[in-house]
Amino acid sequence: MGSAAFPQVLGQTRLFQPKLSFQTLFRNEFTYVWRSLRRLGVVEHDCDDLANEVFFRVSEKYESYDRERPLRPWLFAFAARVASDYRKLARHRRETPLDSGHDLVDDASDVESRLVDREETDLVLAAMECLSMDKRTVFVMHEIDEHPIPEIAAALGIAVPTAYSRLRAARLEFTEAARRLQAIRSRRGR
Amino acid sequence: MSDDLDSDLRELLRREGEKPDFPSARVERALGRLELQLAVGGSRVGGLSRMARRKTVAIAAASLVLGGIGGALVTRSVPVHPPVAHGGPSASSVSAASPVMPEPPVIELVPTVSAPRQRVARVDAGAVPNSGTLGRERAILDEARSALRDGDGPRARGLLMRHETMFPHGILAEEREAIAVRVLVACDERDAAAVRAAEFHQRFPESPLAASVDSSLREP
Repeated sequence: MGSAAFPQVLGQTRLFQPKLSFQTLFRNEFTYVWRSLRRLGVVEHDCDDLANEVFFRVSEKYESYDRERPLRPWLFAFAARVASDYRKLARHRRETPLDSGHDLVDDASDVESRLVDREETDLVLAAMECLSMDKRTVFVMHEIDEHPIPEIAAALGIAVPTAYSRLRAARLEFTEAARRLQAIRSRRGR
Repeated sequence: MSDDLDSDLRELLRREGEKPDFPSARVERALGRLELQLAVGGSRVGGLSRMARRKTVAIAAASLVLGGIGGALVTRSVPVHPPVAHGGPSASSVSAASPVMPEPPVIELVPTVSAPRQRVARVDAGAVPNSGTLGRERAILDEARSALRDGDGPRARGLLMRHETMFPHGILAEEREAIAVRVLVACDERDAAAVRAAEFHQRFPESPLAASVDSSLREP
């Protein structure tokens, strides 16, 4: 992140530690933000727009970013809010990776059935669809991005025990969903 | 831990986490799009519908391509949001806080704005003749930022003046002005920086860069 101390400005030594320019931040982290949105249930063709939205919001707050804090959890928190807003819209829920092109139904078994019908369904993304947004956020940050729980809790503004609790529940639910999907695929010879 | 993940699932998650980065060309396209959005919809675009934003970007892109037609202004046709409250100084507060201006600003990168104006995305067709202009503007400002990072205030200042000369009403004029405040602070010309910041707020009252400008003034 931060580079060497700002050296000399008109003969005066500066202690100012410049952080990444916003453009460098964008270049370094665009893929990360895009993939995070995808993992949070945003359909592929909306990820560009939403990544744009994330960085727009980041641009408003970047100057106040505490560079002592890890960057990616901070960015992820923006992505999680944007993805959450997005998924609150029914029209987007209908377009989640699990049930694209189908009407939204509440029956979990029906959802699973439709999921496994999709040839290219990615098991990880599909199984994560069974998690609530809160659990999914902690799960992705910890199990995929490998951030420690205290960092996750700080970035999301939740208590550490709450983060652990969500992670435990998410692991169980993710495992159950993945096993069910694998069993159904296996029965169907996939 | 009984609720831990099985190794096969952990492996799937590991693979998901190791997906490669996008090609740089794709990232650059996305960055260009965001910059255009920031320049055209310089207010709180985040509060707009995606359709409105797409329309805004499309209008701006079209104006870049068709620049010069009628010399018209392209004005954002999206909802007008109230100005964002700024913690920074206004022109009057600068005067009050600094009753005695020690010296006139050493540099004058842009003409003084005498009166506030509504924040409208404005693309001066004469100043934006073609779609390559944005790239040239960006290159100059990138270089200025880089000079600033390297501690070369005079060079950063020169580059901003060059941008000002070449693109007085360029798409990235707002960004140039924000950088100018930082350059003045970096050069220890704090009074000039405060004046420039006040002008920035007058000229771009809803700018997303407003917080950045204000925080520049607080830099040690």
